[in-house]
Amino acid sequence: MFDATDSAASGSTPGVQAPRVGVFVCHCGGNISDVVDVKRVAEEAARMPDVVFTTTHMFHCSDPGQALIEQKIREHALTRVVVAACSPTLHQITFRRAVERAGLNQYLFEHVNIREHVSWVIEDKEAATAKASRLVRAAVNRARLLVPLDKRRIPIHPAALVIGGGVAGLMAARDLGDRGMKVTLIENRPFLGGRMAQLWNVFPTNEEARPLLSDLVRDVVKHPLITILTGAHVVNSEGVVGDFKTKIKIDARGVDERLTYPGNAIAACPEETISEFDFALSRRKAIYMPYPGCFPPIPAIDWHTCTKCGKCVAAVGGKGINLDAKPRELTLHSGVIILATGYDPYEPLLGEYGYGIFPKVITLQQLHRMLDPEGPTAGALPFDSNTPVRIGFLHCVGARQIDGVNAPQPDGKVKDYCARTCCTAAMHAAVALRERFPKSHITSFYQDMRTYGRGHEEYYEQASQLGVLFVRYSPWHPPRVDKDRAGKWPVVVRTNDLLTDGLPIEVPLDLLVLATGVVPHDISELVTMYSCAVGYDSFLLEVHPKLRPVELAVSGVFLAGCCQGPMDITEACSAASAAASKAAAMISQGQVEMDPFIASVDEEVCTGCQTCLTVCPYDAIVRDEARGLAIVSEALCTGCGTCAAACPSSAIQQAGFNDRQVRAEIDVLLGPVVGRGPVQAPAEVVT
Amino acid sequence: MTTNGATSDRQPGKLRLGMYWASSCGGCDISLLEIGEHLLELIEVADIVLWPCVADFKYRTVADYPDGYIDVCLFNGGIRSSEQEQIARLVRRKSRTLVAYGACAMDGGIPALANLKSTREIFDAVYHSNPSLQNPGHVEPQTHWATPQGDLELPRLYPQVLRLADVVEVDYQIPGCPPVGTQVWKVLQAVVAGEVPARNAAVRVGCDNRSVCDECHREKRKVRIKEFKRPHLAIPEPNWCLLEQGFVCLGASTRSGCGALCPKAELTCRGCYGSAGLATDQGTAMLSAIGSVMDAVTEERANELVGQIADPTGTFYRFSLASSTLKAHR
Repeated sequence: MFDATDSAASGSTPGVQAPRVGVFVCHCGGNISDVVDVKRVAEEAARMPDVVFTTTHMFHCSDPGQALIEQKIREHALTRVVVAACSPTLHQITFRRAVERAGLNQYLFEHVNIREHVSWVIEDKEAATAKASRLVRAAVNRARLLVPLDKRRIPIHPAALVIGGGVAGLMAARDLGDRGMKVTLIENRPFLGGRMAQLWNVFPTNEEARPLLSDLVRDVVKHPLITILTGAHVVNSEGVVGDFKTKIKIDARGVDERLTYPGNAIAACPEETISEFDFALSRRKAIYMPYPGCFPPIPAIDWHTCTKCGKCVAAVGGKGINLDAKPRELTLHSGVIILATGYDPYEPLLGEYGYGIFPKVITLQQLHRMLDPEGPTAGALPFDSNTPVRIGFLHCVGARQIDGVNAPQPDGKVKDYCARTCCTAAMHAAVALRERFPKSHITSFYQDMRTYGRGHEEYYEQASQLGVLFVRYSPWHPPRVDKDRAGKWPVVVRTNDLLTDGLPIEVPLDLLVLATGVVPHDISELVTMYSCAVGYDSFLLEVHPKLRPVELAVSGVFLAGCCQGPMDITEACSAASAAASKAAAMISQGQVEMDPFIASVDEEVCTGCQTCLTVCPYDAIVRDEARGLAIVSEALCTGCGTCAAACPSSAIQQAGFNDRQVRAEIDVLLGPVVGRGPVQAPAEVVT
Repeated sequence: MTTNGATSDRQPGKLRLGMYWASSCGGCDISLLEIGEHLLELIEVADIVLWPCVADFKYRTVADYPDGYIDVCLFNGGIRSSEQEQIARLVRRKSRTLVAYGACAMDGGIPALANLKSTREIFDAVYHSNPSLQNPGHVEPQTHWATPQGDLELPRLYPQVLRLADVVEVDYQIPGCPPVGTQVWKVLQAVVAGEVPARNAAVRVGCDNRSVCDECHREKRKVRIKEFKRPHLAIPEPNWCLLEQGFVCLGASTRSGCGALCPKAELTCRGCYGSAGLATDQGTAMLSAIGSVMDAVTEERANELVGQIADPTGTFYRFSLASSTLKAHR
């Protein structure tokens, strides 16, 4: 009958010091004080209840500025501190530490952003000062109700899981291994190497891609701390940073190391299908190896194509092939996870720039397969080196598209971002073709030449010197690819050349190479599993591009390579090394410290309505069936606050952001009424 | 059980009980009768020293009481006029324990919905534009009026309904519109026995800790809301959560204690017991909850669904607008 919950919430909590608030308003060297009257903000804050000290300072983040805060905490026995300054992403930690040095719990600190939120966006001084003052007073009202909190500490299982066996994943695994970390590398295709294995030669060193890759693969394979699992798919993931349990399913390979002469088995196989490795330029068998020297160095069976006729088994005398092999499941335990899931080259829509209609319209990826001496044409193009062959490169296919100009993708959107690597890749290929076919005429149809990287511009220079012709088209009027009416040429490209004042130009070609963009590999299941933030371009989103470049918002999950955006191999490797170093640093700590802002259920109040279970994005809440209550798993909770907001009875409260604290802030923000009546109201009462 | 409230009539050792009404409908007064035959037990141990609803008390009578004379005063209704505030202050002074009784005293109640309108708009509706009205002289209430017998001074209407706690210190709250009889009797028994919790304006008595869902028999099927329905347009499926069926039931964000009377009668909970659990704003709590469980991924779909809720403020803040962050129209 009697309700004790409210009294507990509104009465003083044992162990919590009575509020004595200090308010520190920063000038930010004029960044704030040029617009905001910081002195008035401090004065108005001083009139709030429980405020015992206010001041302003030119740079509160400076050493003397921080020292002042520490000194005043001691001098005035402050128990709550409010600093009004820049964005908390910049200096919240700075001030929390200052508060802690003065002997206060760091969560008794409240940060107000009056720079990005006020002085930088409001010109009117009066309006800016009024807003700053209200924000500060709201923070004071909230700070009065803050209670000390302790950081959470979670031990880390000393092992890493790397998802993706392309160059970024391999690099990350090797770096981690070299730091003495146990690593499991999983790749969902049957072979390692990813997209790099499909390239013939790479910029900016003009090295052949696969020997380079092989060196890296060798390091990884030989590494005693690295376990490699191919054909492995993530089925489910549980746990949090320090303690991820990832369930994987490993496809049956059907072949093991006892198969000594794979060639015989492959030759015996009667079933064929399109080779995805060669971008449909060739066909492969149901039992196959994509290229000589691949890893693992044994074939795999494509079960969709295999009819289990048994001819391969017969051809090798039954040794090393098992057509009845079954997939198996495994749970991997790791403290951190690196996502290196890579990209897919943009596949032009049927008829886009003649693709799929004219056989002489190919993609840059296909050109690489053709130029590869181990590729489907053994490195040969269907031209004689003496013929004056005409080749075109069309840039920005599936990149920098404009809504309304380019046809939308199946998801309804256009690929409006720059794929970054294709300009240099196209120039690199143009130079190579020009050298191989000295009599060739090469035309490059481009929007903007973005050979941005170190050693990239040289390809453009070189191409210019080698006589590559540049035609600049407007993205609003992309070139049209047609057949030649006279029938002399395989294709004709028509466009208006902006370099000659928009004159119409018609270029007949023997071969048109589409420099296609980069799209993220489809990892929608992983995105859901790890609650990854995804950008508008569908690539995974880091926490901050500058300050936390390879970290996902989900603690303990890092990003390597093209899953995060279009990168060339150089950049993907740098990102992979960065991710590995962050992951290793985290493991070396032995434990992770996390902010204590987690949700908890008041069991006296919870009715088990299950609203929170429906909304928790991290599956951190379970229902205790016996007691009919919701239970929050502290380890899984990220403190996003969704459940606390959704809980209709506010039985869920988030530490540091409980209803009373948030309400106290809102009450001042929405003023003029402060508090809830005379009992709690410090100032005005409306009549 | 009448008493004239005079001090001399009081039997020694008997509890002095008061009940007062301000901006309310009278339902709270009737709810006290709902304790039924227990009334006889009550008057065995308590004297009613103030109850304008059932007996004639003059302001003077109360003013003449010594301070703290009334042991427990149950105050129902919110504060809408200067007179009500004046009496609230008087009663506060005369009562050792003052209880905000019922939704209006506690949270503003139904009258507080008028906080969405200005006094001018209310006067226009009540005295001028109301279709059932004949007011050819366009007469409006005045605070001063000169009559041949002398000048009249009338109470002033406040621009918004306030809670009792907004004008005086309140010791306890009893929620409900009106409070259910069984709970009222339990509180009175506790008062008589002296078993009351420590005074605290925020302490609610005559209710439980959880939400109405706790007392509701209907099952959850964990489905998202696909459509909002008004109660008169569809017949709810028995034994299935009304909210999940699309009826805007406030049970999840409403304090338990009533025994889930409305959901048991196939009606949505309207929220009269005020915010549940630790919530400080009942309407916002329910809005966030509903927003979280709607079957809407896109903004368009969310707008479509929300558009199906008739009178959102009146629905979510039906009894608690004066307690809410919104508080009033500005």
